[in-house]
Amino acid sequence: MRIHRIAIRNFRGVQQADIALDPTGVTIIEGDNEVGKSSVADAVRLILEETDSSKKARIRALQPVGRDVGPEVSLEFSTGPYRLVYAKRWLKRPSTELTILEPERVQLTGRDAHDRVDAILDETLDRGLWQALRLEQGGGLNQASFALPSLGRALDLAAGGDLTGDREDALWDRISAERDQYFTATWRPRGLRVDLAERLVAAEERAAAATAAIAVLDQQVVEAARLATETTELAARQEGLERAAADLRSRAQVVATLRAEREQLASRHQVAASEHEKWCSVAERRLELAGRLTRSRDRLAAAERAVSQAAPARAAAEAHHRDAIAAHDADLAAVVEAEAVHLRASRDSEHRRQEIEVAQLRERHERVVTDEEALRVAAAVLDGAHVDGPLLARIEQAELEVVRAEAAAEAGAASVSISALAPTKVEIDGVAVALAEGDAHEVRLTSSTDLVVPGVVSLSIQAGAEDRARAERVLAARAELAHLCATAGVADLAQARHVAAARAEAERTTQEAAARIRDNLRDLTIEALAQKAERLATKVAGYASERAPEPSIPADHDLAQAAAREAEAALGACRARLAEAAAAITARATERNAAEIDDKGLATTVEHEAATLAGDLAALERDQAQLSDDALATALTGAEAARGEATRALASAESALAAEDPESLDAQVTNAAEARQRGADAIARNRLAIQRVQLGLEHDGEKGLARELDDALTARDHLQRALAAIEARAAAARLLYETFDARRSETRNRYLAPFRERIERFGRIVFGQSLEIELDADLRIERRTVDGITVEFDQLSTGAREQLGLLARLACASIVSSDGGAPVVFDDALGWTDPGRLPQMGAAIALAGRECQIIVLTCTPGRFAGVGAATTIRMAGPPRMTIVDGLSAS
Amino acid sequence: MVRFLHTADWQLGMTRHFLGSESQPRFAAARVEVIRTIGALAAAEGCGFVVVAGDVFETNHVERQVVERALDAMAATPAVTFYLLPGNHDPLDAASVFRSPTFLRHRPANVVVLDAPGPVPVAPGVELLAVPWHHKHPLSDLVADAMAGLTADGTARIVVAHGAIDWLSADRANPAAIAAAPLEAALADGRIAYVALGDRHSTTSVGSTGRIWYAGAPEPTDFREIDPGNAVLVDLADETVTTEPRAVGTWHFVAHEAQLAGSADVGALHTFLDGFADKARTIVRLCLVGQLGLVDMVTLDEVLDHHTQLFASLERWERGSELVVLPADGDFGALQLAGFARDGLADLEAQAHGAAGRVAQDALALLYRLVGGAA
Repeated sequence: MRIHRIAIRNFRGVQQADIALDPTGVTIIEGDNEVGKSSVADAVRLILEETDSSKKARIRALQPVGRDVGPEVSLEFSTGPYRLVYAKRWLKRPSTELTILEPERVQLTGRDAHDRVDAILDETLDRGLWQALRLEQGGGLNQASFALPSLGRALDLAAGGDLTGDREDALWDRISAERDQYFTATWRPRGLRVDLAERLVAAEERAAAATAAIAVLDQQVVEAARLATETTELAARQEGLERAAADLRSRAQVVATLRAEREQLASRHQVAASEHEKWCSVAERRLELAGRLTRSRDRLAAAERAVSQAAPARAAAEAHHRDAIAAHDADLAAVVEAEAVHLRASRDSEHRRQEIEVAQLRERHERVVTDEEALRVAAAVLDGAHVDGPLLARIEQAELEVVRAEAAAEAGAASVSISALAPTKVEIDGVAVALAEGDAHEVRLTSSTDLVVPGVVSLSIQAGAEDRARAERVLAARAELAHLCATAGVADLAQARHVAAARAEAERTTQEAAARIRDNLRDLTIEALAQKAERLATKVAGYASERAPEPSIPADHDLAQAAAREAEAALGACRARLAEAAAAITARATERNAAEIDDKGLATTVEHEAATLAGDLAALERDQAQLSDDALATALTGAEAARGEATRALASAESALAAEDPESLDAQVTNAAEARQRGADAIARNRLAIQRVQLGLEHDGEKGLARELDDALTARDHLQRALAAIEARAAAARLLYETFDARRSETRNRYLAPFRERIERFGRIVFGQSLEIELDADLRIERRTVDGITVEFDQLSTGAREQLGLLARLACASIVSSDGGAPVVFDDALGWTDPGRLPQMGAAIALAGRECQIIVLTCTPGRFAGVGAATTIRMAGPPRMTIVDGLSAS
Repeated sequence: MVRFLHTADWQLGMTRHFLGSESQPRFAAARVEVIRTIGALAAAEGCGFVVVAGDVFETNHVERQVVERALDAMAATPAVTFYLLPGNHDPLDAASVFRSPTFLRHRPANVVVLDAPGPVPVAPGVELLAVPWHHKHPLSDLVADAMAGLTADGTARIVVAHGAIDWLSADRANPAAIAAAPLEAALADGRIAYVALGDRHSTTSVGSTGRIWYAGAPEPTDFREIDPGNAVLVDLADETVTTEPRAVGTWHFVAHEAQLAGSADVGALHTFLDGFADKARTIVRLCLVGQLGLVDMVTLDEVLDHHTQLFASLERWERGSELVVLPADGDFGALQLAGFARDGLADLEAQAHGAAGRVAQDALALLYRLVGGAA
């Protein structure tokens, strides 16, 4: 479909407009807001959709306000083989006029005209395409659905001209529905398949339960048979046991008789043994008494022998004791003697030591006297000598100062040289100086000097100020020196130095003498020291006179000390010997006492043994009086014989009993009884078990388990067949679905390709060469990739979505254009697109315009300035309306 | 001269799992009803008694209803005594149905259980030599055991036994197989007069004497049975024995293999199935072999579906069937599928051959149905 001309009158605010359009290419209709651009778009839609009699709200809204006129639209367009002019007026004198120009000229009016246009459009126009290609003001950014018959046909042709139609689509729906009967979206079983499978499991479980129950019954049957067989065997065995038990019982009777006999004989044997033991005991007692008597006699004899043997030992002990006492007495005398010697030697040694001490004391006294004299001499020296160290130092300093002052005065003073031209005499400060011819004399003018050549001249030479000061310093130094010497009582420095040396010597003497006095006196006074020496000397003299002359006193203190030590050692030895002697006395005394006690004990033993012997003899005689030894022997022999006979009889009975093996027999009897009991128990148990099994079988056997099993198996077989059948159908449905789905996807991909490529071709102008897009099954853009970054359509910016929406429409229009197609209408589009992209969008629109009709309505003329080849039509505002025939833009 | 009816293998309580809920009860009822037929036949033929040579019941665990209905059916002809022999299905073990309270309580006077091995007099000079089973797995030839010590004393002895005859037994190692040769020898020297056997469901005369018979099941139980549905009418005279199998059964098992290569074969199968007079008591198992186009397959399905409603059971024996269904020229041609549908069809056709082609064939058939080829 191509629109050639649109004319409107009295259409909303537009009084009149007449717009010619390029059938191929871009027409841009510009105009300010509310000049009626959208009315142009609405007019095209309404003339095609609404009959002239329509009173719908959207028709009534077309009525110009305040004017009694009907809105009119005239549209010239071609579609398919037709070219027609179509005009309608609504509301006021409604009318419809149609002139078909091609292929044959026809004129129609009214409803016929409307219907005919409808028919022509149905025949030639894909109305969905017509809708899809219009991007209207406020139409939003939603993508149009391009699942359109016309695009589909075009794409089919592009894909190889392989046209699938409604039949294939319906077939696919049925295939999908078939699949959905058996599978969920994730290919899990559903519906009857699940139900049958579950019922099959249930049936199998029922069958298994019934089989198990029957198996239990069968097992019970086997058990019953086994029990019956076992019972028969047990009964046979029981009979054997009974016979064996009877045999054992008769043997047991014999053994019982033998046991009774043996018990009787055992009793008799016990009596005989008891009698025999009694006589044995009497005989033993008799022997015991005789034995005791003999032993008593022996012991008495031994005691008497011991008494006689003990006497010499006691005498010897007493002699030893006495000897020990004598030895002790001798040792005691030796000790007394040694003590006297030791005392004298000690005193001698002390005497010699005191002698030495007297001499030492006297020496010390003499040294003290000497030193006291030295002290007195030194004190006298000190009294006369007043120059000590500091004073000497000050005198030396003063002397030095005088020398320095004098040197300074001399060096700084003017001098007068006097040369004698002839022998002469001069007085210098009153001092005459004789000069021979040619002699020279120099005078230092340290102070004012009077120079007189007597008789000739008197010169008074005055010192300068500096010379006076130097002279005064010399005088002051000298005065200080003189004052210090006077204070020291010396004439000059040399004397001062001599006096100072004498004073230092006296001070040293004083110190040394005082130290020695302290050493010699220690804590005594000099008088006490003298008295002490004299007292000790008196004592030494006394000892020498009092002491016996012999032996003589050792020559010196060392010898005396040696003699004292020797005497002390001798005394120690004597005392040790005395101690040993005392110990010997004690030991001997103990021995002597022991010998005395032994003696007394032996005597007591002899008495005791004699008494015992008398007692034993009496006892034996009493026994013998009751029963003589002969009578006793006879009774014992008789008892022995009786016992022997009883023992033999018992042994014989026991061997007879042993021959019957009574213990083994007892065990056999017991065992036989137990075995019989066990057998009887087993039989009883078996009978009970058989009864129980029988009851169980009777009860369960009538439950109809076979029927139950049969029912379950029948159900199972039927379900298995049904399930196998439905599974086969499901497999077939799946294979069919998957096979067709694969082919369908393949075809769809092939079919989508041209549309995708066309969008990309236009889009690359805008988004660059890397642009790729993906389409969904409805040919909508699903995602966009630019520079390798893929974004879902819905996640794109508003501008990008708007641009892709336009580009998709352009692509669709250009693909279907050869088949007639439909105009692309953009009403106030690209509002979201930033100015930087407008030129590229314009280029894309221009490119599409080469193949199809594009009508752009805009209130922003610059927005589409980038569309290269386009015809621009300006709709001006009031006064209402113009215009305008194709102002071609380049 | 004594006349009796020899039958066996009633196996009352047996069910066939492939039967549906409608036919199963009828099948069970027919198997009880045939007892009345036997009783009536015996009465009509002047038989003094009927021997049932084992496996009266399918198992010892049958439900009470089966026992009571069986006894009731036998009670219908009180003049005819039914001698029931326990066989391997219903041995006289601890769970024996013949000792169950239900059986004992409801047993009519004309029903005798041969519960001990040995002779049971049935008429002057005539006795049964009973060989009952006491458990499921005997370890010897019970018949030989029972015949030990017999002499030809003029008594007409009818051996009533159950089990496989060694000549016919595939299991050579079976210790309980009944030795045929001693039986023939005993028949020859007059120790016994007739051997009434049970176990084999096909009516069979064993050996050359004409006196050893398997009566067969009175109502068929399986497709493998050759000649079931009979009872053997036996006349014992002094020297001769006359036997005559008499049909008593009303049901039929039919196994049929059909070669299918086109619509003519499908038509022939239709005719074959239509030919059965008593479809409601006929159980058919079809083995279908060959190759059919989708259109013929739809026809076949219609034929089978129709007859499934008529027959007691009509089942396809899947294991034996090798029916390949492939689109024939024109099956899809007229539909002129385009695009992905045409390609998908080609893919399926390519897969439909060979061993793994079954699913693809099914898918093709499904496709055929979905495109509207089959209503």
